[in-house]
Amino acid sequence: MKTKLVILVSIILVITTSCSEFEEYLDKSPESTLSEKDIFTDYSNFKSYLYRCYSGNDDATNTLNTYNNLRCTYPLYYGNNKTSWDALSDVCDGGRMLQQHIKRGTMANSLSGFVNTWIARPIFSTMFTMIRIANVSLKNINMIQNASPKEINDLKGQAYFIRGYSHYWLTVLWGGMPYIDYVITSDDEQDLPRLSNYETFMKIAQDMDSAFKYLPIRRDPPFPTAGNLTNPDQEKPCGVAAIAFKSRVLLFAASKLSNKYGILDWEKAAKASWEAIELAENNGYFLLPESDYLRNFFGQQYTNEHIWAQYMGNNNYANGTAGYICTSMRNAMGSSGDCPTQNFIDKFETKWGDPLNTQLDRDAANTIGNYNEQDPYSNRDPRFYLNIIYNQAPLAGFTNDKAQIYRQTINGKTEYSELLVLNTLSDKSSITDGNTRTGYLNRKILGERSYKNTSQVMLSCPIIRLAELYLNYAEAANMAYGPNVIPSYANKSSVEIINEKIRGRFSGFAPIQLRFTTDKEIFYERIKNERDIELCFEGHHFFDVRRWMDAPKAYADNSLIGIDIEKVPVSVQYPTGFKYSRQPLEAARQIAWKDFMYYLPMMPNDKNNVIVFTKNPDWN
Amino acid sequence: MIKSKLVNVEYLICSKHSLKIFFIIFILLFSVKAFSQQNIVSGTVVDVNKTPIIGTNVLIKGSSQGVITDINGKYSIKVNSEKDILIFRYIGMQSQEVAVQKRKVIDIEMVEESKKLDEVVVVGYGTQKKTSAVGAISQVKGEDLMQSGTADISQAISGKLSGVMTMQQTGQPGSNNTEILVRGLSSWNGSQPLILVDGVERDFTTMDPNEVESISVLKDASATAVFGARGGNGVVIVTTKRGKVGKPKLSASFSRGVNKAITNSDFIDSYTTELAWNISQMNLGKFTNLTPQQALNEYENPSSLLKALEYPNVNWYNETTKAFAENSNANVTLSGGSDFLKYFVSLGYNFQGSVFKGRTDHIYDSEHWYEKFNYRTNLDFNISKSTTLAFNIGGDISINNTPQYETVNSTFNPWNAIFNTSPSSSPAYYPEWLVNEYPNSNSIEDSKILLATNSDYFGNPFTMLNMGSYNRTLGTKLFTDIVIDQKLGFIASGLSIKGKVSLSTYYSNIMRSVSHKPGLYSFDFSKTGANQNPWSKDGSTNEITKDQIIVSYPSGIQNDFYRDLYYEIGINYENSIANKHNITALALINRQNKQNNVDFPFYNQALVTRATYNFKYKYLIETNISYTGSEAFAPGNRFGLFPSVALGWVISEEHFFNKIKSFANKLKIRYSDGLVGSDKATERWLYTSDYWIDGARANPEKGPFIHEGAVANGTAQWEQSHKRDLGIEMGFFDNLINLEVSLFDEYREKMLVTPANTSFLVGNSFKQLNLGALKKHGIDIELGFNKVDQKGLRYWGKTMWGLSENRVIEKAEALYTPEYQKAAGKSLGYIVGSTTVGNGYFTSVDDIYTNVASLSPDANGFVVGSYKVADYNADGKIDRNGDLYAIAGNLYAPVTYSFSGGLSYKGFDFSLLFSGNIGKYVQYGYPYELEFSFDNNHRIHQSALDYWTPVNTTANHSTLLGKDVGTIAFAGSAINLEGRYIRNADYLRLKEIYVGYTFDKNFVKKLGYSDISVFATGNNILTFTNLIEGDPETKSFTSGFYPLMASVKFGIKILF
Repeated sequence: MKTKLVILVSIILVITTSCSEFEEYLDKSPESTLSEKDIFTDYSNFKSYLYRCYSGNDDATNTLNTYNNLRCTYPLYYGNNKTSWDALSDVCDGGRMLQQHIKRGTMANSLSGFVNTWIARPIFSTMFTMIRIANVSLKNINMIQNASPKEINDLKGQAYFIRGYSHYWLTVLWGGMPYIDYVITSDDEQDLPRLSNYETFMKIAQDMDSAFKYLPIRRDPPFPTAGNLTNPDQEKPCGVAAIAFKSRVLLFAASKLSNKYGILDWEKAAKASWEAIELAENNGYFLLPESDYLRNFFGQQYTNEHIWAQYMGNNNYANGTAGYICTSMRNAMGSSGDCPTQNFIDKFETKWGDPLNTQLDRDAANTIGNYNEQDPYSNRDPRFYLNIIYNQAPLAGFTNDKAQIYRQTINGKTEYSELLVLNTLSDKSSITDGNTRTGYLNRKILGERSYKNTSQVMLSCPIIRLAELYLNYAEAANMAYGPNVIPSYANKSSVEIINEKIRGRFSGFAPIQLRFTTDKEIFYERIKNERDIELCFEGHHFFDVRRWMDAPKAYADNSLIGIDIEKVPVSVQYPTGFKYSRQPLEAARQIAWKDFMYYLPMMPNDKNNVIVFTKNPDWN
Repeated sequence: MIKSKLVNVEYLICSKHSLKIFFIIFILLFSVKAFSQQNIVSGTVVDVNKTPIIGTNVLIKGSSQGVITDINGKYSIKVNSEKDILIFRYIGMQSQEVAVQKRKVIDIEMVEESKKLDEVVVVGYGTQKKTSAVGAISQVKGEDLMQSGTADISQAISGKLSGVMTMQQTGQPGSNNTEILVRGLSSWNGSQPLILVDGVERDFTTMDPNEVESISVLKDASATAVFGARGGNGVVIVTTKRGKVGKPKLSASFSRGVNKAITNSDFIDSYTTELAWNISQMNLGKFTNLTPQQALNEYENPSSLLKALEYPNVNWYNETTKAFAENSNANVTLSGGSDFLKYFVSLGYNFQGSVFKGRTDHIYDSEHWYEKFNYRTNLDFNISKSTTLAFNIGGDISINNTPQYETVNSTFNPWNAIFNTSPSSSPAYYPEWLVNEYPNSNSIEDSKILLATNSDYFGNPFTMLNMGSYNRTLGTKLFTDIVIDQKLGFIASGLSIKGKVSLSTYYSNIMRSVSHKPGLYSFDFSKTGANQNPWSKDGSTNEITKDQIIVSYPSGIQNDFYRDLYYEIGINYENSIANKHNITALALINRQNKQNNVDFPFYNQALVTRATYNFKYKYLIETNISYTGSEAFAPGNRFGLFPSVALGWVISEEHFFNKIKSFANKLKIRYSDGLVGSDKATERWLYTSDYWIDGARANPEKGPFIHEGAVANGTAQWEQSHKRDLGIEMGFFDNLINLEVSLFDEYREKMLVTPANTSFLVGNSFKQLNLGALKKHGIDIELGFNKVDQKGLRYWGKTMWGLSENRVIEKAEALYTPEYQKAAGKSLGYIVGSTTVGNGYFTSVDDIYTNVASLSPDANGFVVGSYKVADYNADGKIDRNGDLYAIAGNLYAPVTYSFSGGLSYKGFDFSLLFSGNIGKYVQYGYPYELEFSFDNNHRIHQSALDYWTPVNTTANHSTLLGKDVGTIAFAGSAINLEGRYIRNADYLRLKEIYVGYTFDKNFVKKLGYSDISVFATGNNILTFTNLIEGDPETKSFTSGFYPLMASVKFGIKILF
């Protein structure tokens, strides 16, 4: 019996010992995979993870820059579907038709271009991805083993910035969002209620404050110290950028579309803007002189007016797919880029400060001899000459080095000048290509690059520049305190900022006429005009016109006009030798406002996954 | 006699060598004779035919003394006293107890056990007596498979196992892709059962039915819980034959026959097609497209041989097929054994030819054919009284020849083209007489005919099959097992320990690849005059070059492989206390390392326990608990505990039952309840997030970056299913009639599913999560009778019915998906689509205009007689989002059934088997439904010939239209009108028929043989279905398929 027992026990022992290794048998996984630990403990890997937000490309096989990163929101940074925010508003007529129907409140298939099509502006899905990356980074930031506290703080600050910035874009395009400040796992609720615009902006402002706390105040030493503007991470936001962005966010929060507490919101916005101005000025940011004004956009990588900008590389006119709106003046077969409308041209005052917005305004200016409808380009706001290519404007490479935008009748046959020749093939059929249809072209962003001037130009995209801070302050201070009040924390009134900083940079340009600076509401209109001009083609108007709730007026049905220019003999009536007549743009390029257009619609698939999250109305 | 296409002779020689060695070993072992002693009582044990029974246990009752009868059925045993009682036991025979008294010689005639009390069923890791089994298990014997006439074992089980559904998908030689399901669909992650050969996970599709002793299917939780996370879809256990003690038995069988494709579509000739074309073009207002009358006349009645080519009328199916394909089987089996060694040796051969013709001259062989050699040797050594060693080796070597098609589009195969290509588009090929009459100076092709260009949209099937390119693939499969069983009687009676090591390997590689692109030609019939060259060659130039034949032997490449190492060790206990308390117990550990076309092997292991108890085979209880693990899941969730319990009550053993025993002799109720799992997953490493580094970018100086791919499922685990089964087994009139009914249900949860309800707020997508749930219920019924009358006429019949219905409970669908589009609440595999309303057709112009506002008749080309599409969600718009809904119909039939029956009398043997499906649907696509579905494709299908006209308003098909109308998804001939193209495919098929004759033994013995029988078998020879075209057993009709085969074979079997 004993031996039996011994044998039985030993058998049981053998089996149980093999059991003790039982579970280890399955502890197997391939060695090559990149684990979470590998990524977040190593500083360099951590950066590779977070910095994907700036230019990482989700499609490894696509050699183009693609846009499922923050770049898809950068106003002057474009995918293959070349439309700017301005071309989707009343400011410009895009040379190409693509997505122009958005002006009419129809989205058709182009919605995906704003949601998830990588070659366009896949903002909706990308911003949620950016938010996730920021949240994952913040969650894992303490895992880093081999970085200094300063380096770690920088990453932390960037993550806060990215999170706030991404929510901003979702909010201005689709309205208030649930504020996602944690990593959503499969166990978490995935359908969350929306905050109001106001509440979302406040959360963004909080994140910008956190970002400011951790970010380096600026990345490069101020001018004229060596190294100014040349930090390798110049494209990443700095502390000043966080506070500057907060100023914009609070301005949006106070604006009519999102305002919650009336004047208090404006006061908050004014104060934040002033703080941003002081912070920027104290850290060596300054307005470029008039002569260098356009260096903010091309010809130089970064400037000291850029609070946050993205250098886009060195491109020639034809490099249309390089990620910049360089669909500049192509030949008839190409596209024209963004062509400013006459509606927009009318926003440029005379150099004496006479507004020309309405026929009444123009008649008044004409009466005092400051404006002639048949010599419309003389004596205008100096920025007109910097921003616009108009008929007979200096333009390298074209006849007489001037822009030739006119038609003339020779032997009973209409002939078009170089910049008016339309592609006969597409002219009637697809109206997508060709030269200007408004009579104007964009100089601010494109310079003189054209199919006749093919030199390489460095292109920059300012995301926030100092001039915006002055305009933010002017707007908020006017609404909070009135045009001429200097709040206790500041040393300039709204009017002073506009006149001294914004208009003062340009020589021979009058301050805003006194008749406009006494009443808050009247002055508000001039501030808006000033903002439209100063920040034109930089992607602001599309959003400003909505937050002001001016869109119904600005987008009145079929109100877009261009200029028809006919070459005629010089006469008293036509002193320039050209006959200028206003004419409406063709129907397909017109605009028509509907109230649902404040926010973009949502994709059917996205809508299918949420119930608590209120859905935006569809466009039709 | 056998058409041998063996190319790599080395393999055969090799296997012959190894076999020779085996034979020598056996012959040596044979000479070991059984020992015997002189004793007091002796005798002979025979069966009713007076044939000695070898291996009968002769025991003295109440002691452990016993002997076994020898080869001649003789025994001798030393008895203790005259009062001793001898017990004679033999499996399958009634035990007999005989008092010794004063006799010295006791001869016994054993009678077959009618009650089959000792019938054994194979269960997981062992066997059980059928009477005491409480799980839901069906079993089929090897003989029943051999009678089926098919060499494909997965076909041979069709209709023979209750609760098992088989669906053959192709008739292509060597393509064993029959789908096998146990009790219907179980999961969208795969419903295939776990298949074991001799207890080890292996594929059995290429096994020779002659090697198979039995196939057992385990269906409920009780039977499958021992397989834990691998048993959820049911388990199929194939057990191979083993030797029995006795004289060597050598048998040989050979059968040969023909296959013919099952097609139930008639050829529609060019004339009919062109008339239909003209109707469609007139409907579309495209009068310039009409085929002129002169051409119609030529199509109908060609005025010359040349015109017959210019206006072709090609039956593509006939042009590319032969009437019959060859099919041969041969097998040699040797078995027998002594006390020391039992052996079973089998060698099999199978050849399957193709009905499709190809080019088979010179080095070309672009025909399908498949040749297979099976081998198996199973040895059992009794090393000592308490130790047995088993050694099994089996496998096959196969050669599969497959033509490589030159196609116009990579998704098109010749089958697709055969069912799609226009009969009037081009001649099948340019015949010799034309080439002779109009010599082509630019052609130096080495064939007498010239191949026509792949001009049609789908290509020219004749050209595709006759290019001459092919691949020849060699597959070698080897299964080996070593099993040691040590009785531990010295510790406790009935205790034993068993260890097993198994290795299964399969390698396949292309042994020869021939690539050839001959010139393809067009003939311009307008250039038949003098000094004109009507020929032009495909490609830009007409240059005189001949394509190189490239022959390669890429034998080193593995196209397909597996390597599977399995080992187990277990303790078994089996005892009967006082003949009342019958106890068994099992504890076992196993591990598996499976490398299946992957670099990183799959690891599995399990700890298994089972305990059974019954009181006098009357009250039965069994519990199975397994703890199984798989490396596929998240640490912490890798192991699962799967318990089950089953209870049984054999009411017929109760005393009160005796009153009705003359009427009902058997009544057993069993119930089981338990958990099993399924570890099938479409992805591996679900528990880790995928991080990846990006590559090529425009700004390489700023990269590369690290991206987070799909987010890990940190708790990934197996699917878990709760199964219940209630069974009743009944026997009437002394087992003349048997009825077995099982009711089952199943609730499966934690099914892996890619969540479609991940909201955009997440900013990423998730890997599959364990979110799905499915419920299922059904019934298996098996009813049979078996009668032998006094004259020796035996007749029997059997029917099996299986019903299995399922409903998806949860599939992580998008929250806002309308209910009518959700998978939840519908059966797995339901089809979503759109369909027509009313009587299906626009009946007037008014009808078109008033139907749905958004459908502009002008824009969409609707005409009277077009399909009238349903605006399902009644939103005034017809679109592919809102108007899709779940259309009745499933590719998997909820009801499967079979009828079989037979009779035998004095050597004659006859049986047949019908099997069918109810509630099965198939999806027609353009190869079977749509007319003129592509540009200038003049092809119409049988289902479209019954088209709508003002007088044929209940037609099967809309009025004839064509491709141009399909420009939006819902217009007349849109291919997305699922509601019209999901067709009921219920069928009843005569699956098997068998006629055999066994010659009289005395006559055969004079010839020097033990037994000779001849037989004929038929498969798939009759099919009843309402389906207009195509084979109802297949699922996918969308791109054509290699047709299934009907076959007839004749064979002979000789027992030496």
